[in-house]
Amino acid sequence: MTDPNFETLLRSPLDDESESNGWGSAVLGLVGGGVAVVGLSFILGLWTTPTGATSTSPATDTLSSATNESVEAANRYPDGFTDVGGSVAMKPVAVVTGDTGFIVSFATAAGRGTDPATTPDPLGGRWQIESVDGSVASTTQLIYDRRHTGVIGAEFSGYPSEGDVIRMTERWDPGERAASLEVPFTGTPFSTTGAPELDFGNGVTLRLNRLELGRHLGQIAWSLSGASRQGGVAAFDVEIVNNEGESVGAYRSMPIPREPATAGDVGLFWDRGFNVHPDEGSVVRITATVMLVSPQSVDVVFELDSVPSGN
Amino acid sequence: MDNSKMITGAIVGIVLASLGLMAFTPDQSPGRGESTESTELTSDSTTMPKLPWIAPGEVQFEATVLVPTEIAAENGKVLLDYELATLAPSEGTSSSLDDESTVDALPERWSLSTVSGDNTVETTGPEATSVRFDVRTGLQREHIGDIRLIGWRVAVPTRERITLDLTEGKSEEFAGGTSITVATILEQSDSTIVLLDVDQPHDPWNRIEIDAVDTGWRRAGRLDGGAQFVWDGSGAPPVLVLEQSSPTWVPIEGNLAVFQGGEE
Repeated sequence: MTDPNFETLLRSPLDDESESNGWGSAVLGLVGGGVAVVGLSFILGLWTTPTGATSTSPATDTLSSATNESVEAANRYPDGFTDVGGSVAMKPVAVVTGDTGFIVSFATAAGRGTDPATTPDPLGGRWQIESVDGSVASTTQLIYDRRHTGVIGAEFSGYPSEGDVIRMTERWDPGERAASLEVPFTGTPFSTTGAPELDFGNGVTLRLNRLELGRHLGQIAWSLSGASRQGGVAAFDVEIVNNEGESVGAYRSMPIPREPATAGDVGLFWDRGFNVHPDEGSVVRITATVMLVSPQSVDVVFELDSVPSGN
Repeated sequence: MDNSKMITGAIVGIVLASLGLMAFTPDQSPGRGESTESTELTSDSTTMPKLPWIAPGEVQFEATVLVPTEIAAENGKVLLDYELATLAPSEGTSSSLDDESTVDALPERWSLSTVSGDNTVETTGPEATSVRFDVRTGLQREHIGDIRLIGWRVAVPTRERITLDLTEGKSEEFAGGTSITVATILEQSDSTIVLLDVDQPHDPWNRIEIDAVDTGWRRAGRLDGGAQFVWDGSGAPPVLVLEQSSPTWVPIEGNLAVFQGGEE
């Protein structure tokens, strides 16, 4: 039983409008059905990238913007690459299994509309392998190849299993700092006394534990303090200057690694011709350029099953 | 509320949304570099925005872009010249200072098909910047159906160390088969020079470079089939720990159109 007066009281202005034009319920159904299909598709995991990598970037507020962002993200980077933030994307390109572990090689690509030469190359990151049984393991080491920009090998112990995924939890952005200092030069062979420090600001210092210079060669042992746990990548230019302020000669550290560290020991090589014997100099000017690691949290999952194996 | 209209609307919504998703869902077909991949770069401009740093006619595999520069057919040969570029970022790292930096993936296997159905496969090495196909005499460029990149190699960084007893004749081997032998030890008044024989397998894709872990050992130059390390001053250690950190080049199968030909 329903009292018609009650129906009149409970009726809203929208009810009247819907009934007057007759299409309100159809529109509601249309929208509801569309939302249901799209939502179900996301739940079922239909929306994945071609490599199966899934980015867990924050959800957007509306359906239309989520769709547009997904399409834009898919085209922002080359085929198969997944956005890891920092204007770069990564892709696991191959797995090589050894006697005690395996290496997943990641390639890195700059985003659309950016110049790779002016896009910061991550100094590394943090990856972990997650198995279907719930076990999680971190990398045993990261392996770099200084000739191949953007290529990083993430090594894990054991062997990969079906269904394993790699989760990237940190991206290590580079932050360039440079500082110089001068010490008196007493001729070759030369070695510093004490442990002079270069100040990069914000509490970050690089200590020269040892600086040795020969006629054409030299060596620097250094250590960082005040930096992140990963440290940075250091390169050195060493110049010998005479009393008139003229450069007598210079050395440069070689090779320059890609792997960040908190301490290192690097050789110095004659960088340009010595016009006179280096003993003509009176001052050693040391310039250190350090790419400090700035860890950034990310959460990106890469499926491992489809990655080619190079055993 | 009119339930029948709402149900009709819901059905229409489901159909439209499904069609929309089908249109925008990325290709999930198995395998990499399916045959449609490169043709999208050149012909499917209506659905995929062009990537400014991958121009039409260029082919992307991994973070490498292959740029065809010339194709010629004469005297029973088809020659394709190309250049390689990288999409890998390089600012802020040492590699931007290193002239020796190279791409992360290199082409290796190619196929050429003619419009009459002949098919030729060729292989190139890591240093190549062109591929040459042997074809039937008289074949012209317009007889080429297509040229495809069907295989490439990707760099996987590896690291391995061996400890070498500094005794002449002593030998150690890396996992990849490269053997290092102490050929000569020269004791100088102010240094020690060690000459090593480096015997590498005949595989252009696996040429390793070695360096001393202890930076007190200075690599003094590259010798043909060998290496030389110098310890300045006295007190050279009795062992030399060597590390190879060259990449392993892993072969990848693909199928990317590099050149689409014309009619015979």
